[in-house]
Amino acid sequence: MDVRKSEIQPGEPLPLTDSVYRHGVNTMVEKEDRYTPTIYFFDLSQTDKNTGYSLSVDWDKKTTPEESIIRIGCSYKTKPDFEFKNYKNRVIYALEIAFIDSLDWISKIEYSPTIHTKEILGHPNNKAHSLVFYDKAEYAQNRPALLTELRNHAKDKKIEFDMTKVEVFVEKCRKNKK
Amino acid sequence: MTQVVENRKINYLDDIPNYYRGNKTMILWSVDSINNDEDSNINNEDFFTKSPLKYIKTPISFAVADTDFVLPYDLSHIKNAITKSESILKLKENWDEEGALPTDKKTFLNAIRFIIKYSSYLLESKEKTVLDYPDISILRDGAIAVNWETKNASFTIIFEKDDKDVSYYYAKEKNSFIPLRYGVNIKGDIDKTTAIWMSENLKYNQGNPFR
Repeated sequence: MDVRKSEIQPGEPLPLTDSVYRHGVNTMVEKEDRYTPTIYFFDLSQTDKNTGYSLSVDWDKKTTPEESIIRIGCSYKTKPDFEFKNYKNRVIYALEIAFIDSLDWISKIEYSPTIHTKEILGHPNNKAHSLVFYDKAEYAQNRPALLTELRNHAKDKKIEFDMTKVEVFVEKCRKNKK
Repeated sequence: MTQVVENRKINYLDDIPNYYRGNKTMILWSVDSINNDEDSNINNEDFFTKSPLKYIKTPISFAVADTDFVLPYDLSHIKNAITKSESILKLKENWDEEGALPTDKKTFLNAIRFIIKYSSYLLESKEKTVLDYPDISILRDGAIAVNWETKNASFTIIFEKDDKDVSYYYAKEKNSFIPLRYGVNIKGDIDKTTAIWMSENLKYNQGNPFR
Protein backbone atom coordinates (compact mmCIF):
# COMPACT_ATOMS: atom_id res chain seq x y z
CA MET A 1 0.00 0.00 0.00
CA ASP A 2 1.31 3.44 -0.90
CA VAL A 3 1.41 5.35 2.36
CA ARG A 4 2.05 9.07 1.95
CA LYS A 5 2.47 11.52 4.73
CA SER A 6 0.13 14.44 4.40
CA GLU A 7 2.06 16.51 6.91
CA ILE A 8 5.73 17.17 7.46
CA GLN A 9 6.68 15.73 10.84
CA PRO A 10 9.09 17.26 13.38
CA GLY A 11 12.65 16.39 12.44
CA GLU A 12 11.87 16.09 8.73
CA PRO A 13 13.28 18.39 6.05
CA LEU A 14 11.14 21.29 4.85
CA PRO A 15 9.90 21.22 1.24
CA LEU A 16 12.18 23.01 -1.22
CA THR A 17 9.23 24.86 -2.73
CA ASP A 18 8.52 26.87 0.43
CA SER A 19 10.19 29.74 2.27
CA VAL A 20 11.15 30.53 5.85
CA TYR A 21 10.94 33.81 7.74
CA ARG A 22 13.77 35.23 9.76
CA HIS A 23 13.05 38.12 12.10
CA GLY A 24 15.34 40.49 13.97
CA VAL A 25 15.64 43.91 15.63
CA ASN A 26 15.40 46.60 12.93
CA THR A 27 18.32 48.68 14.21
CA MET A 28 20.60 45.66 13.98
CA VAL A 29 19.33 44.41 10.63
CA GLU A 30 18.81 47.63 8.72
CA LYS A 31 21.43 50.34 9.16
CA GLU A 32 21.62 53.69 7.48
CA ASP A 33 24.20 53.69 4.70
CA ARG A 34 24.95 50.03 5.34
CA TYR A 35 24.22 46.88 3.47
CA THR A 36 20.74 45.66 4.27
CA PRO A 37 20.04 43.23 5.76
CA THR A 38 23.29 43.05 7.72
CA ILE A 39 25.18 39.77 7.83
CA TYR A 40 24.66 39.78 11.60
CA PHE A 41 21.07 38.79 10.84
CA PHE A 42 22.12 35.29 9.74
CA ASP A 43 24.82 34.71 12.30
CA LEU A 44 24.56 32.17 15.11
CA SER A 45 24.44 33.20 18.77
CA GLN A 46 26.40 31.26 21.36
CA THR A 47 23.13 29.56 22.32
CA ASP A 48 22.58 28.57 18.68
CA LYS A 49 26.06 27.06 18.62
CA ASN A 50 25.42 25.17 21.83
CA THR A 51 22.29 23.67 20.31
CA GLY A 52 23.80 22.19 17.18
CA TYR A 53 24.83 25.23 15.11
CA SER A 54 21.30 25.99 13.99
CA LEU A 55 19.51 29.20 13.03
CA SER A 56 15.87 29.62 14.13
CA VAL A 57 13.37 30.46 11.41
CA ASP A 58 9.60 30.19 10.88
CA TRP A 59 8.21 28.02 8.07
CA ASP A 60 5.89 30.19 5.97
CA LYS A 61 3.34 27.39 5.52
CA LYS A 62 2.65 27.32 9.25
CA THR A 63 2.59 31.00 10.12
CA THR A 64 1.81 34.46 8.86
CA PRO A 65 4.34 37.29 9.30
CA GLU A 66 1.96 38.86 11.83
CA GLU A 67 1.87 35.65 13.90
CA SER A 68 5.67 35.57 13.95
CA ILE A 69 5.76 39.08 15.42
CA ILE A 70 2.93 38.34 17.87
CA ARG A 71 4.96 35.44 19.25
CA ILE A 72 7.87 37.82 19.89
CA GLY A 73 5.59 40.22 21.77
CA CYS A 74 4.36 37.35 23.93
CA SER A 75 7.90 36.08 24.67
CA TYR A 76 10.16 36.97 27.56
CA LYS A 77 13.56 38.50 26.92
CA THR A 78 16.55 36.24 27.49
CA LYS A 79 17.71 38.68 30.17
CA PRO A 80 16.28 40.06 32.36
CA ASP A 81 13.68 37.40 32.95
CA PHE A 82 9.96 38.07 33.15
CA GLU A 83 10.09 41.08 30.87
CA PHE A 84 8.42 40.88 27.48
CA LYS A 85 10.43 41.42 24.32
CA ASN A 86 9.96 44.58 22.31
CA TYR A 87 8.05 43.50 19.22
CA LYS A 88 7.60 46.94 17.66
CA ASN A 89 11.17 47.13 16.44
CA ARG A 90 11.17 43.92 14.39
CA VAL A 91 11.66 43.27 10.70
CA ILE A 92 11.12 40.06 8.74
CA TYR A 93 12.93 38.77 5.67
CA ALA A 94 12.08 35.65 3.71
CA LEU A 95 14.55 33.03 2.54
CA GLU A 96 13.74 30.44 -0.09
CA ILE A 97 14.38 26.95 1.22
CA ALA A 98 15.65 25.77 -2.18
CA PHE A 99 18.31 28.48 -2.08
CA ILE A 100 19.39 27.68 1.47
CA ASP A 101 19.56 24.00 0.61
CA SER A 102 21.76 24.75 -2.41
CA LEU A 103 24.52 26.18 -0.22
CA ASP A 104 27.40 23.81 0.52
CA TRP A 105 27.72 24.96 4.11
CA ILE A 106 24.18 23.99 5.16
CA SER A 107 23.66 20.45 6.44
CA LYS A 108 19.85 20.44 6.69
CA ILE A 109 16.70 22.55 7.09
CA GLU A 110 14.46 20.82 9.56
CA TYR A 111 10.93 21.29 10.88
CA SER A 112 11.22 21.75 14.65
CA PRO A 113 7.99 23.07 16.19
CA THR A 114 8.07 24.16 19.82
CA ILE A 115 4.81 23.00 21.31
CA HIS A 116 4.39 22.64 25.05
CA THR A 117 1.63 20.41 26.37
CA LYS A 118 0.79 23.20 28.77
CA GLU A 119 1.48 26.73 27.63
CA ILE A 120 4.44 28.29 29.45
CA LEU A 121 4.32 31.94 30.44
CA GLY A 122 6.56 34.03 28.17
CA HIS A 123 7.36 31.05 25.94
CA PRO A 124 4.53 30.74 23.40
CA ASN A 125 4.10 27.69 21.24
CA ASN A 126 5.46 27.99 17.74
CA LYS A 127 4.14 25.43 15.29
CA ALA A 128 6.15 27.07 12.48
CA HIS A 129 9.53 26.90 14.22
CA SER A 130 12.23 25.35 12.07
CA LEU A 131 15.99 25.12 12.14
CA VAL A 132 18.61 25.76 9.49
CA PHE A 133 21.63 23.67 10.47
CA TYR A 134 24.99 25.16 9.53
CA ASP A 135 27.83 22.76 8.85
CA LYS A 136 29.70 22.70 12.15
CA ALA A 137 32.94 21.37 10.68
CA GLU A 138 35.07 24.27 9.44
CA TYR A 139 32.43 26.79 10.51
CA ALA A 140 35.02 29.56 10.95
CA GLN A 141 36.27 29.05 7.39
CA ASN A 142 32.75 28.91 5.94
CA ARG A 143 31.19 31.66 8.02
CA PRO A 144 32.03 34.63 5.74
CA ALA A 145 30.71 32.80 2.67
CA LEU A 146 27.57 31.55 4.37
CA LEU A 147 26.57 34.89 5.88
CA THR A 148 27.31 36.79 2.67
CA GLU A 149 25.28 34.45 0.47
CA LEU A 150 22.29 34.44 2.83
CA ARG A 151 22.40 38.22 3.11
CA ASN A 152 22.61 38.70 -0.65
CA HIS A 153 19.71 36.32 -1.17
CA ALA A 154 17.51 38.11 1.38
CA LYS A 155 18.31 41.59 0.08
CA ASP A 156 15.03 42.07 -1.81
CA LYS A 157 12.88 39.78 0.30
CA LYS A 158 11.69 41.99 3.12
CA ILE A 159 8.22 40.98 4.28
CA GLU A 160 5.70 43.64 5.23
CA PHE A 161 3.15 43.01 7.97
CA ASP A 162 0.19 44.69 9.60
CA MET A 163 1.42 46.10 12.91
CA THR A 164 -2.07 47.22 13.97
CA LYS A 165 -3.21 43.64 13.87
CA VAL A 166 -0.11 42.53 15.75
CA GLU A 167 -0.62 45.11 18.53
CA VAL A 168 -4.16 43.96 19.21
CA PHE A 169 -3.10 40.35 19.70
CA VAL A 170 0.04 41.12 21.70
CA GLU A 171 -1.82 43.38 24.13
CA LYS A 172 -4.43 40.68 24.57
CA CYS A 173 -1.81 38.02 25.20
CA ARG A 174 0.07 40.20 27.69
CA LYS A 175 -3.13 41.04 29.58
CA ASN A 176 -3.98 37.38 29.84
CA LYS A 177 -0.62 36.71 31.44
CA LYS A 178 -1.12 39.29 34.23
CA MET B 1 40.66 71.67 -3.75
CA THR B 2 43.65 73.34 -2.18
CA GLN B 3 44.60 73.29 1.46
CA VAL B 4 47.29 75.07 3.44
CA VAL B 5 49.42 72.49 5.17
CA GLU B 6 50.12 73.58 8.72
CA ASN B 7 51.32 77.03 7.50
CA ARG B 8 54.35 75.27 6.13
CA LYS B 9 56.53 77.60 4.08
CA ILE B 10 57.53 76.22 0.75
CA ASN B 11 59.96 78.30 -1.28
CA TYR B 12 60.69 76.31 -4.36
CA LEU B 13 58.76 73.78 -6.25
CA ASP B 14 61.91 71.74 -6.48
CA ASP B 15 61.94 71.42 -2.71
CA ILE B 16 58.63 69.71 -2.66
CA PRO B 17 59.00 65.99 -2.35
CA ASN B 18 56.34 63.82 -3.90
CA TYR B 19 56.11 61.98 -0.68
CA TYR B 20 57.05 63.31 2.72
CA ARG B 21 57.08 61.61 6.10
CA GLY B 22 57.31 63.61 9.31
CA ASN B 23 56.56 62.75 12.91
CA LYS B 24 53.70 60.29 12.70
CA THR B 25 52.34 62.17 9.72
CA MET B 26 52.37 61.57 6.05
CA ILE B 27 51.74 64.17 3.38
CA LEU B 28 50.80 63.13 -0.12
CA TRP B 29 51.25 65.40 -3.09
CA SER B 30 49.59 65.04 -6.42
CA VAL B 31 51.09 67.16 -9.13
CA ASP B 32 49.07 67.67 -12.26
CA SER B 33 51.77 69.45 -14.11
CA ILE B 34 54.74 71.64 -13.33
CA ASN B 35 55.79 74.37 -15.66
CA ASN B 36 58.96 75.77 -14.16
CA ASP B 37 59.20 78.71 -16.55
CA GLU B 38 55.75 79.93 -15.71
CA ASP B 39 56.05 79.47 -11.97
CA SER B 40 59.64 80.42 -11.32
CA ASN B 41 58.67 83.77 -9.82
CA ILE B 42 55.99 82.51 -7.57
CA ASN B 43 56.23 83.76 -3.96
CA ASN B 44 55.04 82.10 -0.81
CA GLU B 45 51.82 84.09 -0.58
CA ASP B 46 50.82 83.23 -4.08
CA PHE B 47 51.94 79.68 -3.82
CA PHE B 48 48.65 78.13 -2.85
CA THR B 49 46.58 80.15 -5.26
CA LYS B 50 48.81 80.17 -8.31
CA SER B 51 50.70 76.96 -7.92
CA PRO B 52 50.28 74.23 -10.49
CA LEU B 53 49.96 71.90 -7.54
CA LYS B 54 46.30 71.16 -7.84
CA TYR B 55 45.85 69.09 -4.73
CA ILE B 56 47.77 69.39 -1.51
CA LYS B 57 46.38 66.87 0.87
CA THR B 58 46.96 66.60 4.58
CA PRO B 59 47.05 63.15 6.06
CA ILE B 60 44.28 62.30 8.45
CA SER B 61 45.17 61.51 12.03
CA PHE B 62 42.51 59.92 14.15
CA ALA B 63 42.08 57.69 17.18
CA VAL B 64 39.80 54.73 17.68
CA ALA B 65 39.80 52.37 20.65
CA ASP B 66 42.49 54.53 22.30
CA THR B 67 44.84 53.87 19.40
CA ASP B 68 46.24 56.47 17.00
CA PHE B 69 46.10 55.96 13.25
CA VAL B 70 47.06 57.97 10.19
CA LEU B 71 45.56 57.56 6.75
CA PRO B 72 46.34 59.37 3.50
CA TYR B 73 43.85 62.10 2.65
CA ASP B 74 42.50 60.10 -0.30
CA LEU B 75 41.20 57.52 2.16
CA SER B 76 39.13 59.92 4.25
CA HIS B 77 35.99 57.93 3.37
CA ILE B 78 37.59 54.89 5.02
CA LYS B 79 38.49 56.89 8.11
CA ASN B 80 34.84 57.97 8.36
CA ALA B 81 33.65 54.37 8.20
CA ILE B 82 36.15 53.36 10.88
CA THR B 83 35.29 56.12 13.35
CA LYS B 84 31.59 55.51 12.80
CA SER B 85 32.04 51.85 13.71
CA GLU B 86 33.67 52.59 17.07
CA SER B 87 30.25 52.57 18.74
CA ILE B 88 30.39 48.78 18.39
CA LEU B 89 32.71 48.75 21.41
CA LYS B 90 29.98 50.22 23.59
CA LEU B 91 27.60 47.29 23.06
CA LYS B 92 27.07 45.29 26.22
CA GLU B 93 26.12 41.65 26.60
CA ASN B 94 22.68 40.87 25.13
CA TRP B 95 22.87 43.93 22.85
CA ASP B 96 20.45 42.32 20.42
CA GLU B 97 18.02 41.13 23.12
CA GLU B 98 18.82 37.60 21.95
CA GLY B 99 21.89 36.91 24.06
CA ALA B 100 24.59 38.37 21.78
CA LEU B 101 28.05 38.84 23.26
CA PRO B 102 30.09 42.07 23.23
CA THR B 103 33.31 42.38 21.27
CA ASP B 104 36.64 43.50 22.72
CA LYS B 105 39.24 46.10 21.81
CA LYS B 106 41.72 43.54 20.48
CA THR B 107 39.26 42.02 18.01
CA PHE B 108 38.02 45.42 16.88
CA LEU B 109 41.58 46.68 16.35
CA ASN B 110 42.51 43.56 14.37
CA ALA B 111 39.77 44.52 11.94
CA ILE B 112 40.75 48.20 11.83
CA ARG B 113 44.45 47.41 11.28
CA PHE B 114 43.55 45.10 8.39
CA ILE B 115 41.50 47.84 6.70
CA ILE B 116 44.19 50.47 7.20
CA LYS B 117 47.02 48.17 6.15
CA TYR B 118 45.43 47.04 2.90
CA SER B 119 43.84 50.36 1.90
CA SER B 120 47.14 52.24 2.47
CA TYR B 121 49.14 49.59 0.65
CA LEU B 122 46.84 49.70 -2.37
CA LEU B 123 46.95 53.50 -2.53
CA GLU B 124 50.74 53.44 -2.49
CA SER B 125 50.89 50.67 -5.09
CA LYS B 126 51.70 51.24 -8.76
CA GLU B 127 47.96 51.26 -9.58
CA LYS B 128 47.23 53.78 -6.79
CA THR B 129 43.95 52.06 -6.07
CA VAL B 130 41.57 53.94 -3.80
CA LEU B 131 39.66 51.26 -1.94
CA ASP B 132 35.95 51.68 -1.26
CA TYR B 133 34.88 52.03 2.36
CA PRO B 134 33.70 48.89 4.12
CA ASP B 135 30.81 48.07 6.39
CA ILE B 136 32.23 47.19 9.82
CA SER B 137 29.82 45.30 12.03
CA ILE B 138 29.65 43.12 15.11
CA LEU B 139 28.44 39.53 15.00
CA ARG B 140 26.53 37.63 17.65
CA ASP B 141 29.57 36.08 19.33
CA GLY B 142 31.48 39.38 19.42
CA ALA B 143 33.45 38.71 16.23
CA ILE B 144 33.90 41.66 13.85
CA ALA B 145 32.87 41.43 10.21
CA VAL B 146 34.26 43.73 7.54
CA ASN B 147 32.34 43.70 4.30
CA TRP B 148 32.90 45.46 1.00
CA GLU B 149 30.28 45.49 -1.73
CA THR B 150 30.74 46.97 -5.16
CA LYS B 151 28.65 46.65 -8.28
CA ASN B 152 30.80 43.74 -9.42
CA ALA B 153 32.08 42.08 -6.31
CA SER B 154 31.68 41.27 -2.66
CA PHE B 155 34.30 40.70 0.05
CA THR B 156 33.60 39.62 3.62
CA ILE B 157 36.26 38.91 6.24
CA ILE B 158 35.55 37.91 9.83
CA PHE B 159 37.86 38.60 12.75
CA GLU B 160 37.15 36.04 15.44
CA LYS B 161 37.27 37.02 19.08
CA ASP B 162 39.99 34.48 19.87
CA ASP B 163 42.75 36.72 18.40
CA LYS B 164 44.00 34.06 15.99
CA ASP B 165 46.61 35.00 13.40
CA VAL B 166 44.44 33.83 10.52
CA SER B 167 41.12 35.37 9.52
CA TYR B 168 38.93 33.89 6.82
CA TYR B 169 37.31 35.77 3.98
CA TYR B 170 34.95 35.21 1.11
CA ALA B 171 35.54 37.14 -2.09
CA LYS B 172 33.22 36.86 -5.02
CA GLU B 173 33.00 38.53 -8.38
CA LYS B 174 29.35 38.73 -9.37
CA ASN B 175 29.92 37.44 -12.90
CA SER B 176 32.09 34.58 -11.71
CA PHE B 177 31.00 31.21 -10.38
CA ILE B 178 34.30 30.62 -8.65
CA PRO B 179 34.48 32.60 -5.42
CA LEU B 180 37.62 32.86 -3.35
CA ARG B 181 37.53 31.36 0.15
CA TYR B 182 40.78 32.08 1.82
CA GLY B 183 42.56 32.47 5.14
CA VAL B 184 44.86 35.43 5.51
CA ASN B 185 47.49 36.00 8.18
CA ILE B 186 46.33 39.34 9.54
CA LYS B 187 49.45 39.89 11.60
CA GLY B 188 51.92 39.14 8.84
CA ASP B 189 52.93 40.96 5.68
CA ILE B 190 50.48 41.99 3.00
CA ASP B 191 49.03 38.97 1.26
CA LYS B 192 49.57 39.71 -2.42
CA THR B 193 46.74 37.47 -3.68
CA THR B 194 44.28 39.27 -1.43
CA ALA B 195 45.64 42.72 -2.28
CA ILE B 196 45.47 42.13 -6.03
CA TRP B 197 41.89 40.89 -5.79
CA MET B 198 40.89 43.90 -3.70
CA SER B 199 42.62 46.27 -6.09
CA GLU B 200 40.75 44.85 -9.06
CA ASN B 201 37.33 44.59 -7.47
CA LEU B 202 36.82 46.99 -4.57
CA LYS B 203 37.63 50.39 -6.04
CA TYR B 204 35.93 53.44 -4.58
CA ASN B 205 33.01 54.88 -6.56
CA GLN B 206 32.51 51.72 -8.58
CA GLY B 207 28.90 51.73 -7.52
CA ASN B 208 27.42 49.87 -4.62
CA PRO B 209 24.14 48.00 -4.89
CA PHE B 210 23.46 48.23 -1.17
CA ARG B 211 23.85 51.98 -0.79
